[in-house]
Amino acid sequence: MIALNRPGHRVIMTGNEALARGALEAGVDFCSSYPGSPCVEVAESLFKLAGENQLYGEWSTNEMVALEAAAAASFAGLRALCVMKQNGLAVTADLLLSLNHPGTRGGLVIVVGDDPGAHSSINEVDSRHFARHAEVPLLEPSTVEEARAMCCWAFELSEQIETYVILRVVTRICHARGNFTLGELPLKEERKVKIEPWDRFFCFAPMHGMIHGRQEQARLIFEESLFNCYSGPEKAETVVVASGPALLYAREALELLALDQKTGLLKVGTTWPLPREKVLTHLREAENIIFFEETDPFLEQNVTSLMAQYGGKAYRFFGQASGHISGEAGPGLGELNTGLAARGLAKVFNLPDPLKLPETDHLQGILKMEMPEREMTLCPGCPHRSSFWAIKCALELDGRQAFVLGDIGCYTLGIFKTGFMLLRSVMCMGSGIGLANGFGQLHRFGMNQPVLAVMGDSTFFHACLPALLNGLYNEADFIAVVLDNSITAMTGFQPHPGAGLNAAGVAVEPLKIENITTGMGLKTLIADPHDLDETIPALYGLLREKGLRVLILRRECALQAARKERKLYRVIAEKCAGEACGCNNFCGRVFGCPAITMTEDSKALISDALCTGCGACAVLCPRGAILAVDETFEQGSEKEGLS
Amino acid sequence: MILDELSKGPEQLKDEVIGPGWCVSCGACVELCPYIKSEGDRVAVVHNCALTDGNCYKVCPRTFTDYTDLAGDITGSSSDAALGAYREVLQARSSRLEIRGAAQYGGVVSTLAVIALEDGFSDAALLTLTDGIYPRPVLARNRQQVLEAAGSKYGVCPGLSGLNRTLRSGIEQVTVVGRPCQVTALRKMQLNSSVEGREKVALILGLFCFWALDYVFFDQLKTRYGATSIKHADIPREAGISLDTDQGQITLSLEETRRYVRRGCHSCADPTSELADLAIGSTEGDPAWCTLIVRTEKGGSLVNKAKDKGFLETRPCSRDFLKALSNAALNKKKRVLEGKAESPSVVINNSYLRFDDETCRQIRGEGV
Repeated sequence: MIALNRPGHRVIMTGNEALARGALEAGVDFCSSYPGSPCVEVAESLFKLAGENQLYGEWSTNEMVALEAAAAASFAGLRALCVMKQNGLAVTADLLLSLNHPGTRGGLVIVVGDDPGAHSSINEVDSRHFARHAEVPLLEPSTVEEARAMCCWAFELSEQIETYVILRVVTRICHARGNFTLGELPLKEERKVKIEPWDRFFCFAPMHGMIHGRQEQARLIFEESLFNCYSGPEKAETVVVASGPALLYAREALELLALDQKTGLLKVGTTWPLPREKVLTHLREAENIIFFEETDPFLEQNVTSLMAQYGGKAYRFFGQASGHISGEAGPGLGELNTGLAARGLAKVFNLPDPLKLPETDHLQGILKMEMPEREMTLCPGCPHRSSFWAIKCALELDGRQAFVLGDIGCYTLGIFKTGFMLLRSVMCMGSGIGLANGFGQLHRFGMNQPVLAVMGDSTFFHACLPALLNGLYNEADFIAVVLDNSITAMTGFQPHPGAGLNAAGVAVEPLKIENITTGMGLKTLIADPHDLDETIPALYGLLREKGLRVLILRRECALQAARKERKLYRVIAEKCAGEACGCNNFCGRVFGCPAITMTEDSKALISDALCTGCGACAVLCPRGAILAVDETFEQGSEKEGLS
Repeated sequence: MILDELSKGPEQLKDEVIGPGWCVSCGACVELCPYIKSEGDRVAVVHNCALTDGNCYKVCPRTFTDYTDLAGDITGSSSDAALGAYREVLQARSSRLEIRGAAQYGGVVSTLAVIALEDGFSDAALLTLTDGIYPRPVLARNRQQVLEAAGSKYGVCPGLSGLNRTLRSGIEQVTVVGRPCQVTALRKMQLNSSVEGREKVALILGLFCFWALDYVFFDQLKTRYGATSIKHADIPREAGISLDTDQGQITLSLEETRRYVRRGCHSCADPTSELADLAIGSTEGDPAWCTLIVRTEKGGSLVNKAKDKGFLETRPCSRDFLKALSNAALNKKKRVLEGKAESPSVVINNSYLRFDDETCRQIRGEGV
């Protein structure tokens, strides 16, 4: 769809697809990425076209490598796109601060997806600070259409000023659908790249001055950019300044409160470096300036300091610092929306709170009564559920209060009841095994609790290798448990080095984690987590040993497996022990598979729609009351069948 | 009959028995449900099932146990303060050389297990075998499998964990060989609980046991001596324990061995399996013969069957030997009742144990 060759045609697409379209319209040659919500689909949709359009695409093992690879393409004169989520940009920090020195050749654009309110992240991060930190240009689209236009233009901008450009989007751009007009797709000739004998790509401290020069060059270009524009009365007493989709919330809120005729609205799209003259032009004569943006007061602080330096008079600033513009939990916390924007404006203009309607309390009362609390849960059949149950059993049997350090992936849900609340820590990728390196040395300070670190297979390739090496070299005492479901599941089933497929969908030799760990000389056991009779004793045995040991719990992701083949399982109600001693609804209530509910007389009941056919419950059932459907057919019951 | 004192659940089992360290890893509570598991010699409630009245608490030999009452239900006669209720005390040995060669001392347990399997008493026998160096439960179905499990293990193997799954399977009758704590657990299961399949326990052969060893004992055989398999073990007169291993004969002194005794054994007042159908132990000074106590009619008929088939020979027990055994048993009970050797709660009628007043007086040696 994104490669539709009908310039001028009006389409509706997601922000992620629009970004991909923009890159195609710029003739992008090279795209590297590590999957991360909310912007996974940017790279995913481009990878479907890899091979055609002389486009190379790869899922890199982590964002640092992805950006380095994209930088190389840029050095060779190609146009390169690197896509990552907020946390991924932080991973590349060292490179951001060095790559800005030699600068780039072919346009290099970094698309970073921030997640205000952390819908699918462990933190809410404002990545814009990195642009100021590295002194490179920053673009923020406010609409899906702008996402396409900015992404396309960003390559040209990057080549003009010879440095990389950060294009910052948020969930409400990435996952929203919007209308826009398709641009031209360039005819790409075959490029022959050459690295000349005199080419050097050094980061060298004296180049810092050049970085300033490029930044100033960008600012001059931004002064003329149509991505910044002003609407409203010429000399408005009150001007709203906004970037990103917060602009749309502000505009709508102004209309709702009938303030739009008398209030100016300055849209900033080239957020760093600030188009100083443009901003001053529209703000200098104002009395009140109100800021809308997500998440941190980045625009607010830069503009207020600009006005302090060049404005020439005292202004009243309203935004996060003043407390007027605020998320549900406070300024700069959580997502903004039109309602909150209206509330903020009402505060500034001393109007009644537009969100406090007489009906609101009543409606909220009803919602609280009727809506049960819904916990986050692992999918039916997820091998992580069995892994966590096995770990829980082994730890209780060991009895020394061993603890488990967690990491990023579907198994992060091990902090909740679905994973028996086993995880004691979750931070960035690789931090589980990282912390284990520290805890694993504390026996000399009197700690005798065994330490386990869990990590996924994709996480292993992304971040865990240096920590594993450190543990080996410094003789740390912990068990590294790799939860290997053979895919990068949480972000949408992207492949990784162990999955056997590359970004273009071509089969490749899967890299086996045990080859790495045994190659390092580490004791490595492999078990199937759904085979608890194998896994619990294996882990219990490892707990009684010392040193760095590895347990790989390997079982394909249940959703991936179910797509290929799906057995169904049935409960034989007469055999089910239900609430009685010896069971007390273990399968549905404790083990917690969401495909298992209860009948009115407390017998287990498996949902055909949700069951992925992993068979774990059949093994766990203390009464052997759960069987695969073809087995029950053989028992000759005519009633059995898919109803 | 299900007693009020036993109407508790796994949380109380943890608080009263497992937590304070009185568990003897009999395995009776394991595999009744998905919430209690064992691994090696460890037994743990891995998750609170949230029931407050469960079979786990009822079967545990370290929750409220009225020995006099249970013995009355089983043997129908009153107890002897030292050795419990019995019909006769004999010395016995296997007549079959191939059994004696594989087994411990007189080979009586193995012989009786073989007869139980081959002569219609049961279709399976729950025994303990040595897996490398660690004891683990095994369900034997024939003579060959009984002989593979022959020989004393001296470890706190949670053998009854193998039983509970078996009771829910197609097996019809099981003969169980166990330590006294396991025998007690089985009787509590039969008389005080609602465990599914408990009627399938056909015969209980109890062992004499004054202490049993934690698995760290076997761990250190590995780490200190490099042993990876044990062929035979026994308790010689002047030492703690002696083992025939792949690293040769390893003998540890009483002092050294004592360090590895399971703490819960110190609160045991039943060294001769007083609730079993038959109780079997060594005969100190005569390793060719076992001591055999016949307690129930069922036990007696198994012995007779074995003798009729020419598998077992018996002779009377000498009075001196009987006296020595009685004294040893009484001393153990006295230590428990008087609060020596770290028992959890020792005052009669205020502990997990209950004997009738007459028995207590005799144990304390307060005259007949």
